Amino acid sequence: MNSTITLPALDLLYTPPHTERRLLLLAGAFIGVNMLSLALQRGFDLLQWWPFLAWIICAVGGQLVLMRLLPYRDPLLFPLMMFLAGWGLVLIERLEPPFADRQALWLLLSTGAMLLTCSIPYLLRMLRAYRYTLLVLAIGLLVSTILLGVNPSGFGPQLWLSVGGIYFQPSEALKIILVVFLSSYLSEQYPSIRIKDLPRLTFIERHPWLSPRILGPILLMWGICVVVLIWQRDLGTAVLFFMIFIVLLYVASGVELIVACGGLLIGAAAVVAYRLFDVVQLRIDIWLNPWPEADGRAFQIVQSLMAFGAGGIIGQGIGQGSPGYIPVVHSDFAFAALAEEWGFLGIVVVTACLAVLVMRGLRIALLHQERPYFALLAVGLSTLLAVQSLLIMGGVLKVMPLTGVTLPFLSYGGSSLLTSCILMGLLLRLSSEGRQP
Amino acid sequence: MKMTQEVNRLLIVFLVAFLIMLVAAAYWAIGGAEELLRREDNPRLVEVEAEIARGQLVDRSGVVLAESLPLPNGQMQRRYPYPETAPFTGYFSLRYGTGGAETAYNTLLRGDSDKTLDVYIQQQLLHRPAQGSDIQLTLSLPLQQRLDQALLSYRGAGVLLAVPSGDILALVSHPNFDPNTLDAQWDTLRTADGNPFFNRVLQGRYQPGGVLETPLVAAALLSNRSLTDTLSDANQPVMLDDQTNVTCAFAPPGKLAMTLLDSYLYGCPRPFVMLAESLGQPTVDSISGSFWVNQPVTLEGFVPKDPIIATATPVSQPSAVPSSTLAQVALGQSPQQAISPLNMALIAAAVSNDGNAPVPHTIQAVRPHGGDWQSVPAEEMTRPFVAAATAHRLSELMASNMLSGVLVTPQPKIPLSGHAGTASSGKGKTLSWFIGFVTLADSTHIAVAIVLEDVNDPGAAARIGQEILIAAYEQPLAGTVTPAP
Repeated sequence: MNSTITLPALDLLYTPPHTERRLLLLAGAFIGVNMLSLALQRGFDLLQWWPFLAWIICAVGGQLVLMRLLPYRDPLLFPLMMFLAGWGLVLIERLEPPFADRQALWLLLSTGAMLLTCSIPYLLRMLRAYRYTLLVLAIGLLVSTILLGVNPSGFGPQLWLSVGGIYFQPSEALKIILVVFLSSYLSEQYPSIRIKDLPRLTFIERHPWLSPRILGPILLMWGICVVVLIWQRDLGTAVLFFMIFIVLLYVASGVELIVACGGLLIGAAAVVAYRLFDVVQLRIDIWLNPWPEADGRAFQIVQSLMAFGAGGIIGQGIGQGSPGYIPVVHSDFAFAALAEEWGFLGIVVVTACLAVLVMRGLRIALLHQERPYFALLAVGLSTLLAVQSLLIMGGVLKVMPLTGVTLPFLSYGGSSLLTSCILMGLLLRLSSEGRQP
Repeated sequence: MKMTQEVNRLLIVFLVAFLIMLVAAAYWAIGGAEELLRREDNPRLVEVEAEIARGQLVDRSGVVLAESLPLPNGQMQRRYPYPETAPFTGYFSLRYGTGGAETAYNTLLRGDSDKTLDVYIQQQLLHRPAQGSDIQLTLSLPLQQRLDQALLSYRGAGVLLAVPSGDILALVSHPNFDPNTLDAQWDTLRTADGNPFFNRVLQGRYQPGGVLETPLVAAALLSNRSLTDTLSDANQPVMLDDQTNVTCAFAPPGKLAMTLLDSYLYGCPRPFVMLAESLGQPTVDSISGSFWVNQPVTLEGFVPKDPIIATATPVSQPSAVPSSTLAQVALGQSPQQAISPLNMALIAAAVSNDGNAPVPHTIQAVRPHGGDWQSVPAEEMTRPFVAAATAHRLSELMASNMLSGVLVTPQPKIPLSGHAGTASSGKGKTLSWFIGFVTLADSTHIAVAIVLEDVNDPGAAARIGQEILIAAYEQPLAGTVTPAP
């Protein structure tokens, strides 16, 4: 196609110098004011300020390190991430104060991991070189979760591994490994599957998705997703994996048919899963009509919608609403709690921040069009962020069935925060890659 | 490489998806919010409700009858220091709603009537709980307690009215319930014998029986019949049907040559059937109508329009006779006739007040949160039941009833007026009633009606009526001036 079209993703946001620092200050002011408001309601307690202190350490430290390591990084990624993570801390402090202390520790750890990720030179190339090792590691993690998985709360899906009393959700790490593996694999196959621009004529060449090179990974991916779904009852992760895969394959090959086929496959899988798995059936039933079971199986989603209603436009104000009526509000339903206390305005801000993060990620992909691995990696990471956000937002808002993934940065959960920060580290590295004059 | 188009398409898809989320959020947060929040299973409704500082209910001299006290969790608890006032104050429960005055003045008590900007800021922005207004009721606690005690061993009702103001001074319905322990005892109370939630004064629909004798005497006076002609067989019972055999309420001395006046005193049915036959059906219907016998009077708002509780079937089912004869109508036993104790009290009140019945009145003053008492004047309007001259004559007859020694012994030392009788309440059961009044020093009056279920002793009803009228006479009414806050 015509490559001289102006690229919207490239030019949408112009970022003046010092943007990062100013944005961080703004974010800090917002989080500080909210913490202060909570303190005024609850009475002053020094320990309560620990999450905010941890946030300041991460923000200031992170910025200083990034200035040194990656002077040509995208200046929006880090402040937006810190803003959302800080808001998440405030939210958890308001909903479940003891959890906020733990989440603050995870933030320190995750920011460290992010800085480590973007500071290792040649990390991206190393990841590509050892992609099969990574794949084996990923499958090993998956198998060990299936065999040894536990749930910290003692019931529900057993998606966690316990190492010395610390719980970790391997499917979180799997997401990143999957994106890295697929990007490197597809970038290697790129010349042979990118047939749109090369008028070759044999049937198999015009329909490259029929070749084992493409069909193989499709089946492998589909298999992983099915395994995740059957053994783990983890609907969200299965859908997420499959969507990332379809998107990457589409962007690499440029064949629209893949999207159509992917859509059909998801639809077919939904129908089959609806008949086979009670968990899927439950989710779809209460999505279609939650009202008759508002005090039974659909309690959570109905309470979530009421939280949106109670929030209205400007929200009830921090600590003033009653989001506690939603079961496990701090993880899956953080978005609804946010809606009740910060209102529709809060929702607009969070959605805009996530959308800008996704836009910047795709912009990074366009910067690297000459290096398919980098481009596909950026697309994959952005897609991961976007699809995960959309899945949980859509579920909480009754736009689609609830799939039980976390809202990046905002939900409570150490593994989720760690993964999201590593993802940002990779994007930061990509944004700075090749931009040294 | 040329993946620009794919990436741009992807970006557009993501942005549209985010936009859809915003539209959905706007729908739930703005468009559909009202409907969502009004759902009964919205726990926020109860929470807001529980935090409302509901106004106090006080009696006419300022004694607190109901108040809301804060619990440690920030919620309010409704407390009733005098549970014997429950038939009038009603109840307030987060789970079961309201009843009585709590229902009638709910809007004021909740503070819903204040819609100023200041209130909006306080409640909507600063999340301060709503503050309701205090209400001063017309009830007199000492009289209520006295009447409650007097009726304690009976199933029945009593109501005390000030005339001409219409102030309800006491309102008792037995069996009663304790509004302090309503939530815990709800299920027991709902199925309890005698249905404590059934307010007999307001919801009771009793067969009038001998109550109708007063209107009939009025009709005889209006058509210039002689009240003193001797009647034959006056003390004989009247057989209305297989089940209902109406006899004299009080047994007259055997040798007495009875007149209509004597029949009025002893409550003998036969002369009244003869009177009704000579007056004719239209006259009997007309006099019943002008005494509001077929129009049950109740208190506006006290009985929920759409009650959650079973408002129970009337305690006294009209006897199951398909059509009513003139004799049934004359004796107040027709299936179409039903009267509340409040109606009965209004008949006595009208007789005392030149034939004009007052409009029942329940509220004396309102005090908005942080404000001063503002009095709520009674309606000046009265309902004409009968001409003044007739009322005066009836009043004399009722006064001589009390002095006769038939209704009560010994004769009361203060001038009381009254009339007692019985009514058949179906299935062979009988209820006893009394209506009467006393005239106070300032020439206002206090009227009373007493109903005792399943008691064939009109003298018992008359004694209770006498006791409460004397108490009202001896104890000057407080609250003619609204008390200082």
